[in-house]
Amino acid sequence: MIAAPLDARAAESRRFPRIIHCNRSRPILSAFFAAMMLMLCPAPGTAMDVTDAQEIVDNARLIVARMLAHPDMNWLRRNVQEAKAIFIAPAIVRIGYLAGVAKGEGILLVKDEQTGQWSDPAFFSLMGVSAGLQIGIARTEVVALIMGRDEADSFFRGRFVFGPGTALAIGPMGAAAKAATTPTLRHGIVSLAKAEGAYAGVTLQGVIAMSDESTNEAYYGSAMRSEDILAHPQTIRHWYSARIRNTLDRAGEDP
Amino acid sequence: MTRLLRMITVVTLSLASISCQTLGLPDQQSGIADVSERLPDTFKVLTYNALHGLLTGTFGVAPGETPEQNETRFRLLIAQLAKVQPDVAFLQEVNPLPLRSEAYVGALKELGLAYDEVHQVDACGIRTDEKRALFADLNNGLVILAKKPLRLRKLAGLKLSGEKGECHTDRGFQLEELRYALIAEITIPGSSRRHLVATTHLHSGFEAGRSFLAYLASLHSQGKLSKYRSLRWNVEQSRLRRIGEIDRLSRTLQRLKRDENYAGILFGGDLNFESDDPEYEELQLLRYVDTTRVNGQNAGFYTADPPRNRLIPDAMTSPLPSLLTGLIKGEGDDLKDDITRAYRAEMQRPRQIDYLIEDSFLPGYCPTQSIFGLETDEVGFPASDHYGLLNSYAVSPDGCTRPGTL
Repeated sequence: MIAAPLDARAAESRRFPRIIHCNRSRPILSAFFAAMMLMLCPAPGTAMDVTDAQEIVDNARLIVARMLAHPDMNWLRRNVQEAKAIFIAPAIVRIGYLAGVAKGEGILLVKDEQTGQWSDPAFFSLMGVSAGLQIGIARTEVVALIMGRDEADSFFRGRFVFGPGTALAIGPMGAAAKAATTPTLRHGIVSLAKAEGAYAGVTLQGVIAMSDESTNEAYYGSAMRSEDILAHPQTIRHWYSARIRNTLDRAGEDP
Repeated sequence: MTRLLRMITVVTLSLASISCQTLGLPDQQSGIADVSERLPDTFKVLTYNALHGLLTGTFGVAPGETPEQNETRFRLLIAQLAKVQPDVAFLQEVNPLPLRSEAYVGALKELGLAYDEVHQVDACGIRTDEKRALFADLNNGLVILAKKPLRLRKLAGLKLSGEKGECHTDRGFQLEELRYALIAEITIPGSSRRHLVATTHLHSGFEAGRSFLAYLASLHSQGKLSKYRSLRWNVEQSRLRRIGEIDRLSRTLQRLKRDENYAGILFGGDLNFESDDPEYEELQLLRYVDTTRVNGQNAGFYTADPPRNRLIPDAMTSPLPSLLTGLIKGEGDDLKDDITRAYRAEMQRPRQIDYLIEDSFLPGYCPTQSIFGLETDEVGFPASDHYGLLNSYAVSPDGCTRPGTL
C-alpha cells in the first residue's frame, strides 16, 4: 500500500477533525441516531391486536383518573366538563440529539353536545420531529383538553397537526391548577403532561396525530373510521369503553 | 374375486373407521367438550391467604412468630386441606418458597393425597441464590396446588405492578413493592378441556372502607382536616394501582383464552377490596362473575373477620397507620379521639376481601360457596389471619343463574 502524502493526510485530518475520530461519545450518538431512525420506521409484524388496543384504553383511563384524583387538579376537574373532546396519549416516547423524534399512540373521545355523553375512543398514532437543543430519551403521558369545536372537528378528518395555527397551551400546574378561579377556556387545546426521564420542553407542539384505522379495527372488530366513531357517539358503543367513559363522566366529582 | 372383494371391504371399512375416529377425536386445542367426555361430578376450588408469618418493617423482615407457632399453623392448614381435598387451591403469602409449597405437597402425600404445585415469588428482597439473601427469611409468594390426576402447568408469573425489581424462585432484586399473578392451566381428567387458573395478591395500601372515608369527607366539608386531600389522594393511588393490576391480569388471561382456546377462566386470591369499591365494579365491567353472587346469593363471607379471627392484631391497641397520624396531626384532641375511635371501629369491621372470580369456568356446573379455615388450634388460633373461600362445583343440567354484568 502506498502511504498517502503528508499534505493529503493533513487535508484529510482537517476534513475529519481528530476530535471526532477519537470522541468516546460517538457510539452513543450513533445509538441515538439509530434509535431515532428506528422510531421513524414502522416495525414489521407489530400490528396492534385487540389486547394491545385495550391496553391503550386502560392506560389512558388510568392516566386521566390519576390526574383527576390529584389534589391540585381542580382546574382539570372543572374543565373536563367544558371540553369538547379529550385526547389522551399514555406514552409518547421522545428521543433527541439536536433533532428529536416523537412517537406514540393516543385516543380521542368527543362529547356529544346534545346528550353530554362521551363517545367511544378513536385511535390515533402520533409522530413528530423537532429541532433545537435537546438530548435524551423521555416517556411522556399527555392529557389534552380540546376546548374548541373547531379543533375537535379537525380530528374528524383523520389527521391533526399540533402546530402553528393551533392555540396550544400548557395546562396550569401546581398552585395555578389548584385555584378554582383559573378561567375556563372556550377554544384551543390545553395539554397536561407527566414526563419520566430527562427531556426539556415537553409539549405536543409539532406532533401529528393520524387516525389509526388498523387499531380501530382491532378494537371494534370491524373496519371503523375515526370519523364514524366520533361523529356517532350514541350508536358506536364497545363494552370495553364503559370504564373510560365512566371516569370522564365522574370527572367533575370532588375526590 | 371373492377374496379381492373381501379385501376391498375390509380396507374400506378400516378407512371409514379411522376417519370416523378422527372426526370424533376431541380437539386438543378447543375448549368445546366432546359429548362423550367423562367429567367429574364435583370439583372444588379454594382460595386462601396462608399468612407468611413475617414482621415487615421499613428496613427489614423478621419472623413474626416462633417456629413452633409456624409449625402449628402449617399442621392446622394441612389438616383442613386434607379434610376438604380441593381439586385446585390458590394460596397466597406462602413463605418461604419453594420450601413451603413443597412441604404442603409432602405433608398431603403423607396423608395419601397426591398434589402438584406451581409457584411464583412476589416478595424476595435481594436474593442471589437459594441460600444467599439479604432477608434470609423472605421468599414469599403465590402457589397453586392441583390434586392428581388433574394436570397442572405453570404458564406465567405475570408482574402486575412495581417497576423496580423482579422476583424469581431462586433469585431476585426488589427495590419496591411488587405484585404478581401466577397463571397456570389445568386439564380435567377425562376431558379435553383446558382451563386457565390464576391467583394473585393485589396491592393493599391504606385499609379503610367507604363509610369511614365518607366520615372523613364530611369532617373535611365542615372545614376540618386540612390534610384530608392528601390522604384521599393516597387512597385513590392505591385504588388505581389495584385497578391497573386487575386490568393487566384480565388482558393477559383474555389474550391467552382467545389465542390458545381455553374453555374458561377462574382466578382468585386476596384482592384487598370490598364489593362496594370501584375495583369490584371494574371486575363487573370487565364481565367477570364473582362466584359468591351465583344463584342469587347476595352476601359473601367475611374472609377478614377481626371479631372472630384471633390472629388479626387487636385494632384497639394497634398503632395507627402513618397516613392517619399525619391526617390528625395538629387537629384538636377531641377530633383526634373521634377519628381514632372511628378508625379502630372500622378496623374491627368484618369484610370480604378474598374472591373467586370466573369467566365461563366449568360450563354446566354450578358453584356453591362456603368459608374455609375456621378451625382453630387448641388455644383458639386459626391457621391464618384470613379465612378462605371454597367453591364446590356440581353438575347442574338446568344451569345456574349468574349475575348480569353492567
